[in-house]
Formats: sequence, structure tokens, C-alpha cells
Amino acid sequence: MHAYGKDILRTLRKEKKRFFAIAVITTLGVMMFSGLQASCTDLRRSADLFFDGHTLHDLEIVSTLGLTADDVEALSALSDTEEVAGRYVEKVTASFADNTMDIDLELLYDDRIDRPYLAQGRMCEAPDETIVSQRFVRDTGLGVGDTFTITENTAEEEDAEEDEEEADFLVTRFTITGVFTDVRDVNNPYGATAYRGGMDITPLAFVLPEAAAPDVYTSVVLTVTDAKELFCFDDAYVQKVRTFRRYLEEEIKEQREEARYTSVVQEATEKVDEAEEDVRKELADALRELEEGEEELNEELAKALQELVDAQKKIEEAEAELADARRELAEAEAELADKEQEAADAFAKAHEELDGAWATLIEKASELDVAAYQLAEGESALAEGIAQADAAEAAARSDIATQRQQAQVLLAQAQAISDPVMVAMAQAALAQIDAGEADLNARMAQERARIEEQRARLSQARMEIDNGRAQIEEGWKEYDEGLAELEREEAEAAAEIADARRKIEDARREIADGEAELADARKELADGYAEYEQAKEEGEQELAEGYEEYEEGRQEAEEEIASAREEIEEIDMATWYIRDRDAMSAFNNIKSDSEAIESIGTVFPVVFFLVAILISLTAVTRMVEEDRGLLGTYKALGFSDVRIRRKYMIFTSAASITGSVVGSVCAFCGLPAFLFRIFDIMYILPGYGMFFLPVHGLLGPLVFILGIVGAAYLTCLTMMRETPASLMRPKSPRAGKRVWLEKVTFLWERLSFLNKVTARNLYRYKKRLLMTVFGIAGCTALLLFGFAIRDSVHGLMPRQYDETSLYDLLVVASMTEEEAEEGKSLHDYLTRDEEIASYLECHITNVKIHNAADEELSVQLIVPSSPERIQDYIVLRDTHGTPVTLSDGDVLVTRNAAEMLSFAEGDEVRIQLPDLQTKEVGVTHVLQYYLGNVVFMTQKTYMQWFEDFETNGAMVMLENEVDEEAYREDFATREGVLTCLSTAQVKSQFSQTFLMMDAVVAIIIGMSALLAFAVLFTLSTTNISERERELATIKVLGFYDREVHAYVDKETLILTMIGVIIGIPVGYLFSLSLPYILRLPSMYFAVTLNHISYVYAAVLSLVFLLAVNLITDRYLNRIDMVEALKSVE
Amino acid sequence: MAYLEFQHIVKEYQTGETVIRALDDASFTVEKGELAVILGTSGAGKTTALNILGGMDTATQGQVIVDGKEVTGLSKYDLTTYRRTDIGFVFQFYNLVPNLTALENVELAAQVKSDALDARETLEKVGLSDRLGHFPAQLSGGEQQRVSIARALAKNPKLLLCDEPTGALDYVTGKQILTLLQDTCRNEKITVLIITHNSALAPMADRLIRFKSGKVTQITTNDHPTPIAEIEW
Repeated sequence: MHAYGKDILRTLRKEKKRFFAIAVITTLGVMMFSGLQASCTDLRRSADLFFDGHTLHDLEIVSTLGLTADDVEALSALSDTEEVAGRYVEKVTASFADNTMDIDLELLYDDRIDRPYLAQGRMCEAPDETIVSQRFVRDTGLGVGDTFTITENTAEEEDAEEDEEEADFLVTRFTITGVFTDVRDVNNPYGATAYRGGMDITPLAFVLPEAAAPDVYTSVVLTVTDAKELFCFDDAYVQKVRTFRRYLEEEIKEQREEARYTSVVQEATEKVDEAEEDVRKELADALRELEEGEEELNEELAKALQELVDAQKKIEEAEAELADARRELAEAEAELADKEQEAADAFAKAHEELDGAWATLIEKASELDVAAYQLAEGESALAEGIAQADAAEAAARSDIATQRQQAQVLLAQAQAISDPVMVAMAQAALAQIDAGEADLNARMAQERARIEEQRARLSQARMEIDNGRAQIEEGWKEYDEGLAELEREEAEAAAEIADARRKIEDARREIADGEAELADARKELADGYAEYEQAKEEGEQELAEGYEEYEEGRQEAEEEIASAREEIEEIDMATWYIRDRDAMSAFNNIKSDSEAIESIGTVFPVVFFLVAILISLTAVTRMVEEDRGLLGTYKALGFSDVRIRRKYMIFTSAASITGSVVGSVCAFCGLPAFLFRIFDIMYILPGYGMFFLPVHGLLGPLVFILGIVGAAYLTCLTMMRETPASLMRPKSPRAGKRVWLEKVTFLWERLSFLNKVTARNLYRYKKRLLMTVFGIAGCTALLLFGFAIRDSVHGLMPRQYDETSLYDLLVVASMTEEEAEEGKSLHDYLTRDEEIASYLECHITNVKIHNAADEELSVQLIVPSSPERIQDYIVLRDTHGTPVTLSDGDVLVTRNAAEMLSFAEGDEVRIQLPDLQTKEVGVTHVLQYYLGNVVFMTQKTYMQWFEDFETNGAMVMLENEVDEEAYREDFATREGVLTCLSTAQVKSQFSQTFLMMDAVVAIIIGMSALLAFAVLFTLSTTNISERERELATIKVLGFYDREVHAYVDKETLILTMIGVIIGIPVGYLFSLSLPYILRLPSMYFAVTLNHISYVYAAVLSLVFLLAVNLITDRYLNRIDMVEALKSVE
Repeated sequence: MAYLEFQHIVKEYQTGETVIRALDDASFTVEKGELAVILGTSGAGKTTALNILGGMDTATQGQVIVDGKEVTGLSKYDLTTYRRTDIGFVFQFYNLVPNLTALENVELAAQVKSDALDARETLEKVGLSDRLGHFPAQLSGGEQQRVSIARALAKNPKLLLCDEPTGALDYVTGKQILTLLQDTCRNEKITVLIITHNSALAPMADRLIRFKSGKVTQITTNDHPTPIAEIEW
């Protein structure tokens, strides 16, 4: 036994080449069998762990009417929900430095569900602090410590009601304290997934709930009880979530929708009621005011009228007064005239009297003169009588004087009382007196004359004369006095009259004034009336207007209320949209990525596995066969079959177990570690774990170990049947045989001798032929398959952008009205720029389509403004390549969408716009399309189904000489431009997008190469060892080394070529299955196989052959002729 | 100078710590056209000597000169050329290429030599004119050895080296083969060396070289070698 053990050890040492070959093939096989599966499982498990660790929601509920705390409560109350949380997110514009950007600002309500993973910095702790997503960092270039301000885009909201729902952020300036990984979006923003979602995901920032106070939640997220324990990419999980979702849809949804609807309607109704009440109150107030106004107006008018009437009365009174005054005046005038007349008469009389007096005086004076003369004459004669006459005269005179005095007094009195009668009487009296005096004088003189007759008479006469003279003097005096008196009186009278006249004048003037005043008053009155009329008219008109206004206001208010009520009527029933994790692009990407690798990882290893196991079987069989003689010896020595066999069992077990271990390590650590680097570029999962797959991990090694050990066992078994003697005899060399080619004489004869030898050898070793051909064909096929993936991936670009999408730029804009007015609308940009050759304006938006099974897919909706021109920008063809035209009523959907959601032309799908408008439509054509998914329809069709058509984007053709990329960059930064994709840019980014595919392809190609290498190596070495004697012989015969090499290599070359020739069509067939294997969302994987790839696949196989030959040639050189020929073992 | 000179050849094999000396200062000469028999027991070093002589192995020390040309010290390539042009080998187990017919096996050898003899004629010479198209498996041991000899002869070699050519054959067939070799030597004037442990063959040799423990113990020339037919063993 000891010796036997040594033999085993020595065998291991001696056969290390073979051991190594078996181990390597096992390694490759095991690695391929599990590696890709393990890698994607690791990806999914790592994702699942991350999701679970941060409690990624299982379902998200969005409602057309928003969701409330009541909804959260109702959902929390369900036993099947574990965590329920509201979510509030609002799209705002962030401004920083000179830039603005639309971002999603979300309130960090709940730190349990969808908890962000902090990658850098710290959590936000104050309301003005924020943590931002990595995408945010990429898009804005901001980092921890930077600040930005936000403006809410409420202006864009059309609906007032929605406005109310928008919470105003109480804080508008935020400082970034940390960068997080959003568990809902683990796409690496710097990496490959950028292209896939169709359009960019908005950068996200979290702020504390204190930063805003919304009324409703934008959505509610929840986790399903015990779903966390399940693997979220498993059917069990899907089933569980789907079951709960169905439960939600059937049991809860309607009730909550109803509740929300009711509450919204109620709220709105209350609001309207309140508003109505307010309005009604206002209206009532207005009416009352109007009525009061009217009353006031009437009062005022009445008062004004009264005043006018009073004024008129006053005028009338004044008129009467004036008439009186005028009458008085007339009377006064008449009186004055009378008085004047009287005075004139009196004065005329007085003057007459005076004149009479004056004449009397004159007469008297002349009489006196005569007397004096007579006296003078009588004097001489009249001596004594004068003295007597004088004395008598003096007495009489004194008497008369007294009388006169009395009369004069009387006259004076009369004059004093201006009684002309009295005056007249007095004057008469006076005259009487004067007459009496004269009588006296005469009687006295006669008496004197008698007494003194001459003397008395003379003296009397003298005295008389003197008296006369004195009297005349007196008379003059009196006259003068009288005249003076009269003149004074006249003056007085004149003054009096003047006075009276003045008075009259005054009165007259007064009257005139009065009249003027009256006229004024009258005019004033007239004005007053006019004013009154006007005021009345105006007041009434105003009032009427007031009423009218009131009426209008009332009507308007009524209408408004009515329309508000109508609007309430029009509020649609709340609709819940329940989304599962598939709605998250990152989740979906991981799912589809891992499925893609997995599907490649299923097809590929099978072939690989088959080749590997066959090759290792060959190696094992050969090894046992080589030991034929030894086996016989052992058997002859009496070793039991089991023990003899054990050596090979141990050898093959050791080799295959070593290979399995190394292979498993590669499969579960090496390959994943490599792919993790690729995943890292695509996703931002914080870490990856390596997981063991029990089924794959055990099955692969098991099959290899069993296969290889079994092969050894079977070979031994067959050999054991022979007797020791026959075993120890050399196995009779296989008989040479004529080959059918020899019958083709003309060809056979043309072959050189050595070629004939080769031909015959090839036929002779049929097993080797089959093995090599099969192995190489398999490897070549796999290589070609790998190249097909690569070519197809890289061929998608030209197919899409050179043959299908002809436009240079695809622009989507969002203009505010102001911007549009400032000439910054998309249309303006497009018409203004000279770089643009042509453009087609479209409505472009992201929509979701649902199939009958309610699976959903995010696609782009393009509604061209003029459908007949679309062929210039996008070539529309159906899947058979027949051109399709876009007409009204058509709904064209791209092929990948149709395949992902398994619908066909004529099927119904549901299209859901971003604002949740949903419509069931019939698909009229399925389009051949490669990258992304698009739904096309005409404007008319769109408007027939949906509201709010507006062109917000365009497909643009640039002039040939324009630098597409530079122009795109310029265009993308313009105000209002949301996205601007250039085909050139997409093309250039594409290779990165398919990094993972490239990595997988590299793995496939690398592994295929290794396998090809292993196949060739094993078969070659087996071939050489089998034919060692033969080769030694020809060496002895003097074949040079290169001739020996050629002798062997020619055979391998031919076999390899046959393998390649068979492998290439097989590989082509594999490739044709690609679109069915790789069902990636938003990508139709049309197979492209470049001619050069066939060459690559073939040349690579041949290159491996050459490399293997280089190695085997060294073995050939080392064949020891002496040892080989010494004896027959 | 003799046609073939084997001078002071030492051949040592290193096996781990121990050095095995297969040939220990062995020297002999053979003249052109002679039939030499090298006689010795197993392990006497006769095969080693033949291998060195045939250019299949190299000597540790000493000199081998064939037809005035030194073989020892030749490069691997030149050794191959030497085997190709100057040497014909006949092995105990024939070592025919099983996948080739008798004729083809001969042709295989003839391929590599420019002045090779016609394969068909050579086969006729060894008496196999009716077996040309047969594969080795279809031939008897003697026939196979004849093919083997024909293959060696077809190259028209300077030396025909035969390592126990009858070792695997029965008595009668063995005799026939030895006769063929002796006749060939005589008729074709080819120098033939036959290795055997059968001392009974000694009389057939022109020159008999005895080996023992890696040394040449005796060289005897025989001017009248006995025809094979007359030798019994």
C-alpha cells in the first residue's frame, strides 16, 4: 500500500501537465457555469441588502387629488403594511452662481422609509440645510458647504386649486451639508445608465420638513409586511407585493379615493359656501349703501329745493319791499315837488312882498324926499308945528312899532312854523300896521299941523321925514333883513329840498341796488334751480349706475359661485396610481442588467460546459489508457480492481476538485470582483457583497467532478474487464485504414505524400477529430457570439442614428410666458439661428404605457406639429422594413416597447401622461426602432384624447458645416431649454453606456479564448502522448524538428479549421437568438455581425492554435527517441 | 582509419544523486561493408552504444567517427541530418507507422532522403512485393520487420543499425530476417550492426564485439562468417 501511495504521488508529479489541464478546464467550466450568475446575483443581492437596509418602499401611491395624513393613517392601520410614510416633493428652480436648474426638493419626513444613504458630509439638521443627491452634485457642480437658493415654479401652475396645494417653502436658501445616495435612484449619475431612462432624472435634494408646510403629500410610500425578508428580485417578492397591491386596489383604493374625493369636494364646497356668504354679505352691504345713498340724495335734493323755494320767497319779499320803496319814493318825490312848489310860491310871494316893500320904500323915500323938500320948503314955514307934530308922531310911531313888532313876531312865528297862511296873515297884519302908521302919521301931522300947524307940522313933517327916513332906513333894514331872511329861508328850503332830493336819490339808488340785488338773487335762484336739476340728475344717474354695478357684481358673483360649484362638480373622482419598484429606473436597470447578464450567463456556459466536460473526459480517458500496462501489472500482482482504480479516482478527483475550488473562487469572487468595477460605474450602491449560489455552486463542480471521475472510472472499468496478460501486451495499434478520400483518386494522387499521411491520420483518430472539431467549433461559436454582442451593441448606434433618427438635435424646452414674450421661446431660437437648416416642432413628453397585464413601461411621446414631415427626421418603418406613414388616428409604438409589454399591432394599450391623464388606445403599427421607445401620433389624434397640446420641443437638422457638439452645448444652456440631445453626443457616450455589455463580452471572449486554448492544448498533448512512438520513429528516421512539428500541427490545423468552419455558422445561429436573450427595456437588440468579426473569431481560434502549437512543439522536441522506442509498455 | 570508429566512449546517466555509467571507455571499430554483431547481456551498454552511434543519443565523453565524419559533438540539427542521411534503424518492435501501408512506411523514410531508393523495389528486395498495400496490423511480425528493414534500406544508409531485430520474432522468422540482413550486407555493401544478446548469432558476424558492464571486453574478426541458415540455436 505504501508503494501504491507513492505511485499515486509520483503519478501526480509526472502527470502535472495533465493534472493542470484537467484542473484548468474544470476551473473554466465551473467559473463560467456560476460566475455570471453569481455576479448578477451579487448585484441583485447587494442591491436588495441596500434597499432593505434603507427600507426602499415596495409601493408608492400617487393620487390625482394628492394624499393626506388620513390616507397614511388608513394605510398604516392595515396589517400588511409595515412602514407607511407620506412624501412631499416639489419641483423648484435652484439658483447658484450664474446658473439655474430645475431640481426636486423633497421633505425628509420619515427617516425609516427610503432613507437616504449619506455618502459624504453630514445630515441636514437645520431647516436651511440640505443634503443633495450625487446626481445633483454632478449636474450643479456644487458640493458640501455650498449654498443655493430656490424659487418655486408656482407661476407655471395653471390651476388655482393646485396653487393652493403647493406649499410655500419657508426657507429658500439652503446650505449643502451632505451628499447622499438615493436608495430609489442608485444609477450612477456619472456612468452608463445616463442614456437609458430616456431622459435625465431630476436632481434631488432633501430638506427637513420644517422648511415647508404642505397640505397634502405628493405620494405615499409604504413597505409590505415581511416583504423585506424576501429577495426583491424574486417571484416570491413580486407575488407578495402584487398580492398586497391587488388587495389595495380592490379593498382600499376605492374607499380612500372616495374619502379623498369627498373631503376635497367638501372642502371646496365649504370654501365656495364661505365665499358665497362673503359675497352675499358684501352684496347686501353694497345694496344697503346704495339705498342709503339714494335716501341721502333725495333728502339732499329736498333740502336744496326748499332752500331754493326760500330764496324765491325772499326775492319776492324783496320785490315787494322794493315796490314799496319805489312807491314811497314816488310819494316823496311828489311831496318834494309840492314842497318845492309851495316854497317857490311862498318865496315868490315873499319876494313880491319884499319887492312891494322895496317899492314902497322907494316910494316913501321919494315921498320923503318930496316931503323933505316940502318940509325944507315948509320948514321955514313949518317951524313950531314940527316939534308938535314930531312929538305926536313919535308917540304914534312907537305904537305902530309895537304893533309891527307884534306882527313881526307873529310873522316870525308863522314863518317858524312855515305856515304860509299865518305868514301871510302876519304880513297882512304888518301891512295893516304899516297902513295904520301911515294913517296915524297923517292924522298926527294934521293934528300937529293943527296944533303946531306949521311948525309942528314942519317939525312933524321933519320928524316925519326923518322918521320916514329912519323908517325907510328901518324899512331897508327890515327889507334887507327880510331879504336876508328870505334868502336864508330860501337857502334853507333849497337845502331842505336838496336834502330831500338827495334822500330821494339815495332811495332811488337804494332801489336800484335792491333791484340789482334782486336780479342777482333771481339769477342765483335760476342757477340754484339749474344746479339742483343737475345734482338731481347726476345723483340719480350715479345711483342708477351704482345699482347697475351692484347688479353686475351680483351677477358676476353668482356666476363665479356657480362656476366654482360647477368646478366642484367637475372634480374627477380621485384616482390612485399604485407603483411598485419597477417604476424606479435604477431598480429596473439593475433588474434588466442582471437579467441580461444572467441570460447570457445561461446560454453561454451550457456550450462552454459541454466543451469543457468533453475535453476533460478525453484527457482522463487517455491518461488511463496510457497506463494500460501498469494496470495489467497491478492486476497481475493481485491488486483489487477498486484499489487499482483508486489511483485514477484520486488523481481525477484531485484535479477536478482543485479546478472546482479555483473555479468556484473565480466564479464567486473573481468574476464578481471584476464585474463590480463595472457595476460601480453604473450604480452607486455603497458596497457589493459576494454570495454563494448553492445550486450553481454545487452543481457545476459536481457535474465536473462526477463527469471526470466517472470517466476515469468507466475507462478503468472497461480496462479491468481485460485479463492482466492482455493488458500487459501493448494494445494492438489501431489498424490503419484506407480513407474514402483515396477513392477520389485524382485528388488523392495530387496530395503530397505527407498530406496523404495527414489525411489518413485525421480519419484514424476520429475521436480526436470530433473532440477538436467540437471544441473549436464551440469556442469559435462563442467567440462569434461575443463579437455579435459587441457588434450589435455598437451597431445599434448607426442603425438608430444613421438609418432611423436622422435629426441632429432633439430639443425639449420649457418656457415661461415672460421668456416667450422676451423672444426667448423655442420657436424664436429655431427661426433665428442660422445654424439650423430645418426643424420640426413637436410635443415631446415622457409617458407610461401599460399593457393588458398592467405592466408599465416609460416611453417618449412625440407628437409632430406636421406629421407629413416627420419622415425627414425619423424614418418610420415597421418591423419588416416597410415604410409607415403617420396619419390621424395612428398610434405608432416602437418595437422594443411592444416586445417588453408583449403587445402587437391592433392591441390596446393604456397611455398615461405625466399629469396622469390616461387613455386606452389601439396600436396601429409597431415600428422598427432600436434605442429608446417612442410613441408617435398626430396632433389631431392627441387632441382628440388628451388636453393641453403645446409644442415644447423640436427635432432639428443643422447645417452641414456646424459643429454639432459646440452648438448643442450652447443651445442647452439657453434659458428655458430643458434638454438638448445631439446624436453626436449620444453616439460618443454610447460606448460608456454599454460598458457592462462590453465587460461581459470581454469575459465571454476571454473565457472562450481560454477554453479554446485549453481544448487545443489538451487535445494536442493527448494526441502527442498517444502517438509518441510514431513521432519518435519519424524522428529517428531523421525528420527535422520542424518537419515533425508540421507532421503534427498540420493535423491540428486542419481540425481547427474544420472547427472554425463549423463554429462560425453555429455562432451565427447563437447570435440570432440575441434579441430573445437580451430583452432590455428601451433597446431593441437588433443583431449586427460585422464581416470582420467572423475573421476575428476565426483568426483568434487560429492564433490560439498557433500559441498552443508553440507550446506543444516544445513537447515534440522533448520526445526522447531512445525512451520511446526502447520497449513497448 | 576504420569506416566506423567508436573511441573511448563514456556515457553517464545522472539519476538523482547517483551517476550510472552505461558505457565506460568503450572502443571498437567496424570496417565498411562489415556485418558487426554486438553481443552482450541486458544492461551491458550495447543499446546505449547503438543509440550513440545512430545519433539518437550523445556521448558524455569520447569520439564517434563514421566515414571520416565526427558524429560526437554534432548539433541536434546535424544529428538529425546524420540520422536522416547516414543511418538506417531496425527496431525490435519494428516501429512502423500503423496508419501507413507497408509501401507508405517505406516511402515515409524515402521522403526525407534525396538519393533514396525506390520504395517499391526495396520492398520487393525484402520479399514483400505482394504486401505493398497492407497496413502493419495486417502483416505478420516477420513481415513487419521486413518492412522495417526495407524502410531503413530505402534511405540507402551508410550504417544499418539493428537493435535486437529478432527479439520479437519466432525462430524461423528470426532466421529469415537475419538472413535478409546478412544478404543485404553482402549484396548492398552496407555496413550492418546487429545488437543481440543471443551469442548463437556470433558466428554470422564479420566482426564480433562483446560488451560487458559498459565495457568492450572482446573484439574478434571472423574472415569466414557462417551463413545464418547454418546456425542453429
